Amino acid sequence: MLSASNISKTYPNGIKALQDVNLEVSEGEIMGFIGLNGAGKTTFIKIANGVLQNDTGNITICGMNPISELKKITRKIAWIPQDGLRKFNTFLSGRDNIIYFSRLKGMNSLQINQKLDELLEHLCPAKDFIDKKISIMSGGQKQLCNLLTGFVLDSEFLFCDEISVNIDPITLDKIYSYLREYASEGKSVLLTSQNLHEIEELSNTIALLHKGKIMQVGKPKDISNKLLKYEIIDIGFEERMKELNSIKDFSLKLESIADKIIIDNEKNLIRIYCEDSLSLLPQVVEFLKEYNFAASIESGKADLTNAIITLAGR
Amino acid sequence: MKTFIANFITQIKYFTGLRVIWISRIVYVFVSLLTSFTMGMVYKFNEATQNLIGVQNVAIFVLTGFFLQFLMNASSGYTPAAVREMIQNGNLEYSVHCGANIVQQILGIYIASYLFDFVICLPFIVTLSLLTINTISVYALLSFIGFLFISGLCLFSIGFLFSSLYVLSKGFLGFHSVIANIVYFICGVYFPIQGYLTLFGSVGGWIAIAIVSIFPYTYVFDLSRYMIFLGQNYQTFLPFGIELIIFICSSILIMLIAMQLFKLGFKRMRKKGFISFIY
Repeated sequence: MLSASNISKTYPNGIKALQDVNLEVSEGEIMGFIGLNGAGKTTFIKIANGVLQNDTGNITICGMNPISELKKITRKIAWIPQDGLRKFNTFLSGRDNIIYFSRLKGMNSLQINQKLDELLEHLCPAKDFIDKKISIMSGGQKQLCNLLTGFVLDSEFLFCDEISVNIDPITLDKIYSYLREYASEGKSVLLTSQNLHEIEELSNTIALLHKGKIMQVGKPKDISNKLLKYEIIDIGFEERMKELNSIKDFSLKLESIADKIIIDNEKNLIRIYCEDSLSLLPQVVEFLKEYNFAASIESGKADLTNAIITLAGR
Repeated sequence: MKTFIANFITQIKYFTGLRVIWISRIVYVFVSLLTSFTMGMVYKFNEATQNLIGVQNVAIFVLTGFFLQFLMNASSGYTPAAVREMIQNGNLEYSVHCGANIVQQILGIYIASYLFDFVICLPFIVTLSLLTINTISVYALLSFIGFLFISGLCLFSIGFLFSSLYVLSKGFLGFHSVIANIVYFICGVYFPIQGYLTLFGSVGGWIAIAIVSIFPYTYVFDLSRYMIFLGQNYQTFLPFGIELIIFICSSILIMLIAMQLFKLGFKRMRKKGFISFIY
């Protein structure tokens, strides 16, 4: 369904947004596309949607090139941009805006209204909001309009860029079921989100992008096992200790026994990433006695975000 | 055509559904009236115009000024404003993704804005026409309104050219209205271009006339003036038929140039990634 090989993109200011990205998304697959801010996720999505030209490499969706054959595939792809709210005319109703954008894709108003009512029935029982002006809608309702602009097209490939912003948990749950149902009909979804719980919940495959490069691609379980093997030990210190050389010395000493160490001066803590926090803890405590600056010490399992930071940092 | 219809309908809905738009447009009409009154007075006391038309009725001058003001605003204002807004709010980027025909999209917005403003202006035009009914013929007035549509459509090319330059270089926005006003002036919005002959002598005058003849505005200003001042029947228009054809042809030429520039700018934006830059 989507095939990208050796995609690179460098912006005029010299930022290498993408470097030799290879990605395959097959029919009926929901791919979670994760990475830190500025990793290149949105750049990739814009290239795949034909609004940005890649420097090198080839990309095809439904067998066609999104730049040169955009008009042929426009009905087959739908894009929910992360900043999609700003494209709305705020003085028109949600319905009018959705009709407008769907008309640009070649749908007629009868088709659009029918599909829209069907979706509203399915996703939000309090559907009257759709006929209100965008300017008086709540943040969540606006975001829902943004989602509906993409969903209403019922296309073969859906790009979702940060869809869960401002959406309440009940509606979000319905959106997740809708996306699962959508994929079960053989359609594909490329989902980016900073909410890793959402990615784990929905994706069949996860791709981790970092500094424009694909670091990992695999099934969520494999990726989680790989990433979540890390545990953390947080050592808190007082504000006045921030400038002490002993903190730096202590960190250097720990590097020999831990996978990664981050000094967070804003939170006043040293975070140690390791494979087994319990076995490492006595050694850490021993070192701490020597330096004597710790105010607190905590250990536990790293969440996916922390694990990604670790992996990306390697 | 679907893109044109979608944009036309949406724009009309937007205009008609918002009270503030009505108010701002009515205010704009009053400002235009004031400007055109000034322009009317300039015509009245302009020797070249006096010699050319020999009409004394200020209302005619005001009506002509009002018409020209309306056309100028429409041609140079609507399209660049629409394109700027589309770029700023990401609409243009999304339209590219939709595979929409951008020319149709902008034309839809332009025609809707033009018609809406025309409807708002109509009562004023009718009132002014009634005031001048003894001086000019009904035939001239009807031709004048017909010409309003043709010229409105043709002048889309100028607005589109400004938009293309804007897409090509966003810095153009800062001085496009200055350029537009210079073009209006040299094309004879305040005086007939025959005035160049008095100003620069016969050789210099004809060179100046030849230069300004490149711009479609020259024909609009000239034709509208003749139409309203001298149009008594179809025979009086015949000598200006060729001018009308030149006007339409030059508009098409400018439209083609603008489309190429727009495509070029668009290609560049797509490559640079600045398709939806925000100020």
